[in-house]
Amino acid sequence: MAKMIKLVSGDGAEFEVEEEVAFQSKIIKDIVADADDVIPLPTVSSKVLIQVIEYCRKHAAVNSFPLSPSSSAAAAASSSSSISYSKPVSDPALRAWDNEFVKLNNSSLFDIVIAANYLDIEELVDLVLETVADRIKGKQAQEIRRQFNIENDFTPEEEEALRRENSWAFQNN
Amino acid sequence: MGCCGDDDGDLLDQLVPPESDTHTYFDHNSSPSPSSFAEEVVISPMNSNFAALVSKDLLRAILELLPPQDLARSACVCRLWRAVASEREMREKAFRSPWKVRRVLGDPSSALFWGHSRLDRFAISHRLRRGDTVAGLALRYSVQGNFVLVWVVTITVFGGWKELRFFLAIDEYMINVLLSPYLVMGIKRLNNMMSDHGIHSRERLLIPVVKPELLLNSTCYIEFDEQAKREVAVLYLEGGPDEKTNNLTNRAAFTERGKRKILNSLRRSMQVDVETAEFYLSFSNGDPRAAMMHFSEDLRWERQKREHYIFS
Repeated sequence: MAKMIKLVSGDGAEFEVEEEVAFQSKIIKDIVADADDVIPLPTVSSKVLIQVIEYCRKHAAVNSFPLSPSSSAAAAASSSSSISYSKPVSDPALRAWDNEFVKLNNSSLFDIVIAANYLDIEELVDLVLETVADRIKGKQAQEIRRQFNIENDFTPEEEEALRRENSWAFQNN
Repeated sequence: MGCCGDDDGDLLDQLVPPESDTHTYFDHNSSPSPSSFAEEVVISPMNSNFAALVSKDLLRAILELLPPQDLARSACVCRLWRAVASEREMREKAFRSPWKVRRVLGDPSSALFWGHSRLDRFAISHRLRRGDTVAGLALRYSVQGNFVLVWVVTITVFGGWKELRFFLAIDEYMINVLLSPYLVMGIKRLNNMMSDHGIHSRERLLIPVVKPELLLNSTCYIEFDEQAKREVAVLYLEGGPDEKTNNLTNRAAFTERGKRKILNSLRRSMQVDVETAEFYLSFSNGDPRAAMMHFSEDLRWERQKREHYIFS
């Protein structure tokens, strides 16, 4: 039977996960190395922890069992040219899953990225950052405010100054 | 999966009371957290959720992924975003990343400089030496273009379909030759040169960058060039601004081997013997393009003379 790790969320709920799933988080991996199987995560809520565990479960499975020829070929290719590519997920099926996974509102995404950062799950952090950046690209300032529910706290003078400085950016290329 | 759009499944409701727009979990100040995102978070009645959620570090990590235009628009969203998006390092990263420049040193006179990073923002600094000509420099720094562009240039430059057959045997040096007239114009325009003689009163020329590969992993210096009368990110191929290091990467017509290559290309394109090619090349002061033009003119003249004899 696979070794189980117990994660305890901020609001006291307990989650048992397989070791390899939990080890997607580098922090957890380090803590467990010091012989402690119960890991309290006071800053992570259950709701967020469930989502993070789901991500880790999916990615642990792919990392340990590269069954499809495409993913193993991709893994082989990426290991030989190991320059800066810790980021892109090469398996298209996994990437599709990731894209579905991040179809969340901004609030949830931020919760997840903060937790993933705390737990040091690099791929998940990158995934969410990219997703949020994509929601900003191509938008004018007013649209961005609407998207993220941000209040415009500039004075009219400041806005005018900014508009002048950045007018070149307001035409879409 | 339960993560498509609706992110609150039934399962979750059993574990967590319905969210009432609180973020009590993220009381960064009270619990010790190794998270690098957990910086001071300003929560005020005026701010929306967003500022409560997002620290400067997190915002920085997101904005880092944006190209210059989007970064500039982000600066117009709110004060927090303006603060982060206007940081010099943010602007510099957005500016240099499309060309994979390693570093950009120096401070521009205005943030507008970072605004776009089209290739014309960059230029190579060429320290002038005795004997340099604009045409020669254009040849030296010019691009290995693609074939289609060459046809267009050929037709434009030589004006007739008849001349096309001379260019069937094109190789990379001839391509350089044909495209270099455009770089000649580019150099003159960039340095505000009225004529070729302007070269004598200067110490250096800025050369437009036509080979983006030169920018890879390079260090560029923001300078206000007196002749160009604008700010440019300058690339030094032969060492830095004080020329302490030696990093010559670009050589062409200067060496003997280079000269021979040009001669051979010319010979093949003209379909003549070496002596004839040499004659035209020296007649045109080493400028292959001029040589080609003279040769072409002579041919036309010969043909007309022959026709005249036939029909008279």
